[in-house]
Amino acid sequence: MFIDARTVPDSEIIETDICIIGAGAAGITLAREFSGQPFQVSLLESGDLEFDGETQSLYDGENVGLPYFPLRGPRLRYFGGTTNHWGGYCQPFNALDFEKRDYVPYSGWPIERHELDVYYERAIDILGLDPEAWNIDFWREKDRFPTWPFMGERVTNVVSQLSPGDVRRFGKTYRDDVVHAANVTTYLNANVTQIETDETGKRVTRVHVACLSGSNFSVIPKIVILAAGGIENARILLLSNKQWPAGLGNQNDLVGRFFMEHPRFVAGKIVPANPFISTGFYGLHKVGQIRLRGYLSLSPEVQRQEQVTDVNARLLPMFSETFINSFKSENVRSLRLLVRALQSGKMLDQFGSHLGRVIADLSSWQKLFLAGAPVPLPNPVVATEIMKALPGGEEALLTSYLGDISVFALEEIFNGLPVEYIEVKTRVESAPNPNSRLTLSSERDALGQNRLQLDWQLDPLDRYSARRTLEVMGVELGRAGLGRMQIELDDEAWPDDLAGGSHHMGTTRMSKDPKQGVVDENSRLHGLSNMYIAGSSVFPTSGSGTPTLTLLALALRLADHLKEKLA
Amino acid sequence: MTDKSDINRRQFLTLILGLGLATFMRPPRVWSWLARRFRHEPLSVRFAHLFRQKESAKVIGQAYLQAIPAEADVQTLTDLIAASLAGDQELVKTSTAELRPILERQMRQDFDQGRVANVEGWLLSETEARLCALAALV
Repeated sequence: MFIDARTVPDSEIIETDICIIGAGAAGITLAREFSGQPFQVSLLESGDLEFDGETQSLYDGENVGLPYFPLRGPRLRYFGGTTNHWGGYCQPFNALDFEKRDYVPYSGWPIERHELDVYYERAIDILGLDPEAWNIDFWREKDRFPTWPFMGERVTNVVSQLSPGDVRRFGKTYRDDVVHAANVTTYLNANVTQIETDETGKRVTRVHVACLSGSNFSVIPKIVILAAGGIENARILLLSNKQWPAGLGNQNDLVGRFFMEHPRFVAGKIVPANPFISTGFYGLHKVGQIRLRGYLSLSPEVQRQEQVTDVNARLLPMFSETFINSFKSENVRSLRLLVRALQSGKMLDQFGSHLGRVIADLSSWQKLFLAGAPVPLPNPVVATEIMKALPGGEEALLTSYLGDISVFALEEIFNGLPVEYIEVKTRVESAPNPNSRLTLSSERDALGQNRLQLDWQLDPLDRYSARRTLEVMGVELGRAGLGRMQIELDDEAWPDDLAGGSHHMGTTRMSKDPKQGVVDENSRLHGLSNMYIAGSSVFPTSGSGTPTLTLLALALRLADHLKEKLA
Repeated sequence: MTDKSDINRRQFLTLILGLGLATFMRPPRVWSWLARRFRHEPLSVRFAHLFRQKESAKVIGQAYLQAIPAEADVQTLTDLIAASLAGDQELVKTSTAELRPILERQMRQDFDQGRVANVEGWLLSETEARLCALAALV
């Protein structure tokens, strides 16, 4: 059942068994898992069923560190959360991501990868993914695009698979499941402003809720699960400071610290030995019903050997302007329209004009020869122009003397456009850095709550990992005769195109030791018996894979843990 | 050290094409003429004339020599390159067309065995970096 929280009587007290804060990917998944269970669930969602600017503005904050998106940008604050605009990229973490690595300070999860296997399977099903899709051998048989033929296994191929568009919008896909769950009540327009504990601070006793309309009420839960996102989870804990000035669960000053993103930037270029090398596997493409993109990465063994974090390299082919311009030309457009008209049998508007354009373009080659000569004689003016343009400038003359359509046809003849060079855009597993953090700012939102200040910082290991990864890849490219790499990473400044991936991780990290983490191995807040956190804020390390699949697996594991606890 | 802007992508692309690492542009007929013309030239000259785009090779070569001035000598470079290939006597008899696959094989071996030069961010085989250096001196 859905209730508009603005209709709840002011100062009402609602008793419940499990209170879930946030109806994004994790919150909705938890609610669905609890559906039909012998306990009551209250799901509190700040927004409504659709986007609302006033609610969204509650996400505003300040950015005082590395350049980053405006804090309200990457996240969405309504039912479905950020899945409402999520790109859908899914990649599981690998075993190395969970291990303690001596060369990565603060690394190591309190659980092992295999403990999530069964939950990854369920998460894969929820996201409409194919479980075989991360197996490269699977693609070698099915994909029309080949992977690059490196020698040995130092450089590997990894895959991101996309959750289908009609599945990944959780707010729509799973809305009916939530609304029809008899034991789940969803309160929309319900903003959590404070989480209160008993005097000992060991048990949550009340969750305070405020609406933008001005009304307030409380929820008295047996168990609370905070599932408001990687940034907002930390904020709500820090704001719960009426009893505990440092914030709830923050006795060791860890809440908000270790903010991790997946920094991405162009770190180099590849000039391929064969300009017609296939890059299709590394672009977004479809194989059957599956949409995927391939990346290059170093094998886990090489990562350990080189003491680098996991860096995924995306390959972006750059074609010469000559070919791009031909593809976009009016002549090629006219040709496409004529072909389409022919195929459909429908008359084309301005047919004569389009036909004339195509004929004129296809006759461009006539300029190569002297007009009116009884036999084909090279036009000396044109011949001189071509000789002057050699070497290197001949490509620019292609469209003048062959025409746009002929240049366009080259793609069919040579099975692809010649690549001029390939940009290498890295996505880096950033090392946990306690100085990269969220804190409360002095600015307040419409509910009178302190906004957040983000100070995103990276670690020297991040830069070293990107550079060293490309160095290894460059050597392997040469070894395989595939081309040459130029590394363009400065020793000091980050590239101008440095950006995050809207992946917010680490701010309530997981560890068995309360001095190293905010939550334990079951995602329970250290020091509190009845409070848990779901979402990527619990990640101790970021991996280079996208977070949604893993946060869903963790949410499913938490759901099973609580079902057992409450049984 | 040469400014990074001196070795831009376009220069490097034309260099790679010139070395025949790309197969898109087959060597024109003039290549065979060049091969015959230079067959009896000293090895250093034959190495230097392997590049279709000698200007690009020079730029890379100059950057290499700035980093490793000890190799800034035609004979030194020629000896270093030849030593890693078949040996002087055989190379003298080898045609330029035959030299190219020998060099390409050597370049791949360089990468395999860690003989890699970083020239203005470009990761090159030592052999190709030295060939560029020779082009800058000859």
